[in-house]
Amino acid sequence: MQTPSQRPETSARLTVVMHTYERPTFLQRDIRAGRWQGVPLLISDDASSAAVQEQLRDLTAHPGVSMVARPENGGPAQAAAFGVSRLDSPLFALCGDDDYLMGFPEFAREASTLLEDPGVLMVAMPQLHLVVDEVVQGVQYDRQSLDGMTGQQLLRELVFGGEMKALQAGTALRRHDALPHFASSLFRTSEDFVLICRMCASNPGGVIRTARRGGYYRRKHAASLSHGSNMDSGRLVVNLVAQLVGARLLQQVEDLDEPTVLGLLRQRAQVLQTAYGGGLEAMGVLESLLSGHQPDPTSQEGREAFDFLLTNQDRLPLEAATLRQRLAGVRTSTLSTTDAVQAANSLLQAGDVQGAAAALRKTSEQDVADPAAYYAIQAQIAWSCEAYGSAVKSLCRGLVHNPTHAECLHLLAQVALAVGEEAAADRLRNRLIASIGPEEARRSGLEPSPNVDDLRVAFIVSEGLDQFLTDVIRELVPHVDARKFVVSKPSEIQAAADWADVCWFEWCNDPLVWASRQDLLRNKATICRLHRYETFTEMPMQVHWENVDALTVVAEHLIDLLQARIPGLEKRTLIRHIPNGVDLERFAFKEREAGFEIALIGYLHGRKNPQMALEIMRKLVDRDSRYRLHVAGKFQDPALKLFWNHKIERLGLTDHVVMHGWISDVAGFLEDKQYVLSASLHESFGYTIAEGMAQGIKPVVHHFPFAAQMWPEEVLFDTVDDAVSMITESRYDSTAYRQFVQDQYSLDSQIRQIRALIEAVRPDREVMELAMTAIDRVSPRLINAQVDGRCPGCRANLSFQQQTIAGQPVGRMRCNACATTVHVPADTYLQALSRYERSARLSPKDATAEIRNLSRNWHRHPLWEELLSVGGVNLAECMEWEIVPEFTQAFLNASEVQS
Amino acid sequence: MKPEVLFFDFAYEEYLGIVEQAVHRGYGAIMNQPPMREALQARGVQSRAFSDFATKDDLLSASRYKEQVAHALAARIGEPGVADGFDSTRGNLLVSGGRDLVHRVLNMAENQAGLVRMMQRLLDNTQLGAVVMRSCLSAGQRTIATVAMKHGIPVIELSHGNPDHPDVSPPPVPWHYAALGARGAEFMRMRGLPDSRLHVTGGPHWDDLYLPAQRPSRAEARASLGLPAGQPLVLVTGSYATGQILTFAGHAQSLIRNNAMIARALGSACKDALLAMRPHPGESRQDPGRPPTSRELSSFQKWLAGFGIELAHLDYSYTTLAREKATLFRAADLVIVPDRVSTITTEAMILGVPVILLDNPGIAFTPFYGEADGVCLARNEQDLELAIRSILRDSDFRTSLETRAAQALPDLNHGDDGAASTRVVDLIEQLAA
Repeated sequence: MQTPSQRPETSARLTVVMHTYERPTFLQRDIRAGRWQGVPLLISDDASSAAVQEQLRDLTAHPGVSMVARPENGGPAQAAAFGVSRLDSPLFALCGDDDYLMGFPEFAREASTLLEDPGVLMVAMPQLHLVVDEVVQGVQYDRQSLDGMTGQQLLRELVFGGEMKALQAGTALRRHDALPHFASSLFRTSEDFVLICRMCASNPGGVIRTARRGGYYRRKHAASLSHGSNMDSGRLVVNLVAQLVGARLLQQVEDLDEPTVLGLLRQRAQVLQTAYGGGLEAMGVLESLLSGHQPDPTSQEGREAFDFLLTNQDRLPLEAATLRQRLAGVRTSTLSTTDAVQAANSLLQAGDVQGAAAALRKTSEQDVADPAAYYAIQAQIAWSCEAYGSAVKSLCRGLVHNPTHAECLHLLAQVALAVGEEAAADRLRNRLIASIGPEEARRSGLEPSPNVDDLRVAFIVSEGLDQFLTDVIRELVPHVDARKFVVSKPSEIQAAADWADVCWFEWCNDPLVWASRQDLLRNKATICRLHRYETFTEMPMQVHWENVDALTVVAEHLIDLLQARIPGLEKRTLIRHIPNGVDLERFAFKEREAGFEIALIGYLHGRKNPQMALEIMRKLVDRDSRYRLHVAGKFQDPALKLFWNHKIERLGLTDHVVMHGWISDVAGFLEDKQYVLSASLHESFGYTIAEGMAQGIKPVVHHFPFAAQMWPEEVLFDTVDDAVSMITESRYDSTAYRQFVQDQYSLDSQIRQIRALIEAVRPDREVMELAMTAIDRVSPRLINAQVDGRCPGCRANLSFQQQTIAGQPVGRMRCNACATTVHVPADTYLQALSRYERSARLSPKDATAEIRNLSRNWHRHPLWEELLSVGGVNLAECMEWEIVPEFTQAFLNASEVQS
Repeated sequence: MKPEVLFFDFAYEEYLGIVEQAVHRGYGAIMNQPPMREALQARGVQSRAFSDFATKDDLLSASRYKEQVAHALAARIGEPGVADGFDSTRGNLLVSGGRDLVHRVLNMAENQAGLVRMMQRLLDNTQLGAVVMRSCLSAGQRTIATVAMKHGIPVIELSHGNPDHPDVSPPPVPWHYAALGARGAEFMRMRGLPDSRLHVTGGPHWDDLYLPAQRPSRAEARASLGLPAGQPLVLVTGSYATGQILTFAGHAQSLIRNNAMIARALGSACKDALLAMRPHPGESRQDPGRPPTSRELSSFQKWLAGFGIELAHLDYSYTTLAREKATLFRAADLVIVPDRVSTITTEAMILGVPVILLDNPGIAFTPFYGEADGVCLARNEQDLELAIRSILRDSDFRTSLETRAAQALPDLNHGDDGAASTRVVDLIEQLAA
């Protein structure tokens, strides 16, 4: 890119940004004709072919011309935004790649002067001329009537009139004013309308000025993006959505009721119908959705428009939130989406893999009644393309939804065979036979494989708390028969335990408390995964940990917190730290740079410390008004919501905080963000931090307790000022963020550790007896005895209290080092006690007599009388040493030394 | 106006009848167990809290005192001859006890120092007539007793178990002793306690066992426990009566051997008998005790099943309350007690249930009960099997046991009438005057 010094001095403050895609001819011609002489021009290429980029790069040899290129195509608005974001000059004007300007230096001088007044919103060129076949036809739009209008007035005129006089073209704007308002890549048309409407709404009191000099020349030709031949159902819908955006923005500053909004949309649809022969059917779909009804389009345009909206619902702009919400509510059980799955299946059977893929793309897992069937088709498509990994993933996803889905089991067994995983294939085939029944299996020529080790693992979880399980179960399904049991009453826990070999209690909450106190876990291996909040409740203390084989926590510091509340917990159950894992495939990496879009994700409650997030935003906006905080989540505390809204208004952040509601597609939400902010007071992990980092996004994390154990020091902040510095500094290293998650929190690593834990506690694990030779010491307490020895499995030190019932040794203990289960047989315990007893070299009767004598002499020691006299009472005389265990132990220790 | 009485360490409801009666006779009650004060309050009986006589300074000064003792001990122990004073025939016990023993001494001293100050403040601010204790074993209890006696206040210890034989027990300390019965009193006399300090009251904690409500019929008791009425039920009780770790190994070994012996004998004597067990409450109540988990319980059941025995009921209640044991006792056809010392034998006799005592010579202490008391002694498996069979099948044998037990009971629980609490209050009245 050219440096400012190479640019013509007169217009150095204003640069023309030209977005272009695969269309260099007009610009080449105009440069050759000298039309760009003296005009600072930045070409922003929208990922054209290498050849075209080469041609464009040649043009930068001309004085004042420079070029940047997007790595991937994002549409005209995103290409323009890309160019503007890379400008050095504070002002810019946009120009189409088939258009040109005249009288620019004069316009630039005038516009620069006018824009020095902060009350001026934009400065338009006075006339826009139409050029056909290189012949100027005359003035198409005279913009002088706009001069002096306020932003609000212009917005109303645009929304009600529908005619914007191509205002984006040849209008000088401030770089930092415009950057937050560019339309997304959805808008391959009407992107200019969206930009101008947003700018007007962002500053309704700002004034529009029209310059006296300068002209914009606009070519009309068959390759124009707005030419009728390029219009399709998608573009028609986008055009209407742009109108909806304008109407919603106007609603922010004026009273505008819903019937009026719909009337404006219908009016625009009529215009489109007249100009392009389509629009009214698309409007019908839009109207149904906005009115809360299920669209039932009958025309091709209507169906295509509906499909377009369904496919692109996550890309719809914030101003179309109602539309997004309604689209999210369109369920899969609708005829159209069910048809899509059936159509995909039919196409697949007919050998049309591409057609099947296209048909399947019209719906999603959430939209179909039988997600397993959906995934089975998706897997077959992947398999046809020899994408075995994708096929396995799809099938496992299907089995998460329905673990006995015959087709998924059959296909997964086939894939396992194809990749040489014969043991897995046997397991899956056996599950298939169990699913379809022996009769059907015989008819299908399926025979069960003998001696197959297929552990049944029940993931037991309370309703609504299964958000962390899907990935885990999906990854485990080929290895063990993993199934999710959502429970809300004891009988459901009982049913899960009856089925399982291993009971995995997700969360240390009511189901585990109840189950640990019942007999139902007697022959099961039991694992509890504790996340965070449970640590601060009474529930861990109510669990009968002796019946729980292992406790796993997602953050190491939780072990310390738990042990502080439940001393000796580590002797009652095996404790393992298994960090959370992020599915790196789901969070695609992209190299990013510093920017202005900040994400805050999750439930909003006091622990999230939202006040701090707002304070950070206030300071950021003081530095640069382009910063915006995008909040994806919902309030769990109405009082906090009240506070939040109040504070946003008090801090003047209304235009800088965008509430998105609950977002299920976190990856999509994060796509255009540069920072993930966490101001929390405490987190066990912070999934969204890791997910953002996986996408190459810079995390900015409050230094909550133990945060340093989980996140790199350089992403942690202590004060608001620290956070602001981290966001505004230039240091930004997407690769390092991704690498950190890959190294520390990969799903693969998590699954490996979970499998190892399940393997360690599985019920058929050998129980080893603690032999006499492995017992170092037995130390009686009043009721039972402390046993110290060495694990027969790994020789690690063991120390535990032997539990008894009526004196009979019972129970097992687990070696923390190797997870071997150890038990002390009654006769060994007897022998160990005899050895202990012999250490006194006296019968208990004689020893008792001796210790009583020693006790009497002991408290007569003159030192005690000297030190232990209070109020004339010799305290030592009141000490009955016979019943003091430490005194008896001293006696026995001395006896051992003697012997 | 009658003086106040300090009821120290009255931690069980079964003793509250004493406090209630004393208050009704006009004595003021001071207690150090808040739950029991609340229980009394629920009965409409007011008492003062012992802790009312503590100040923050007492606790602080006790803590400072502990630090001073620690420093002084560290300084003095190195002086010539001081450490040698702890030598014994077993070696130097201070050395072999190490840090654990010293910590215990310091902690006990801290507690005692606080109690001395509280007790002195209580004496300064009340007209204390007597101190009554359920036990005088701990350093704190003995400190209270010592301070009271220095001020001429009578101290009464309520017997809560059968006393040791003089062969193994030192002479008792010189406070008043309320014995359970004439036999217990005789044991204390042999240990050297003068008659002037020896009183026979009976066990106040057994008074409730004489109430009709606590004596359900066998059928009622079975029904309330959910046990079948037709099959014989044998109750085995546990015991760790000595309360000290020196004899733990012997007791534990004895219990383990007994369990196997009982299972075998019961299996031979009566194929369809059900087994109920009531381990010593300490197994669930005392640190590090806890109730068994379902896995541990199932392993125990499995172990018993290996002998053909069905464990029909396991009572792991935390309580020592006699009335809460009564239903289980009354449901049983016989009770097996693992030693010849535990007062659970007297309880079973009061409730009219035949008793078999395991006469295990491995246990250190002198037998308290004998065949003359209407109990069966079993020295081995054959004895036990015979005793079980005789009790379950031979009604004449049962009658002879009942007759002898009825004759022995007044000797074991003075009066055998459920009025021991009244006699204890009479004693308080006599001594406080």
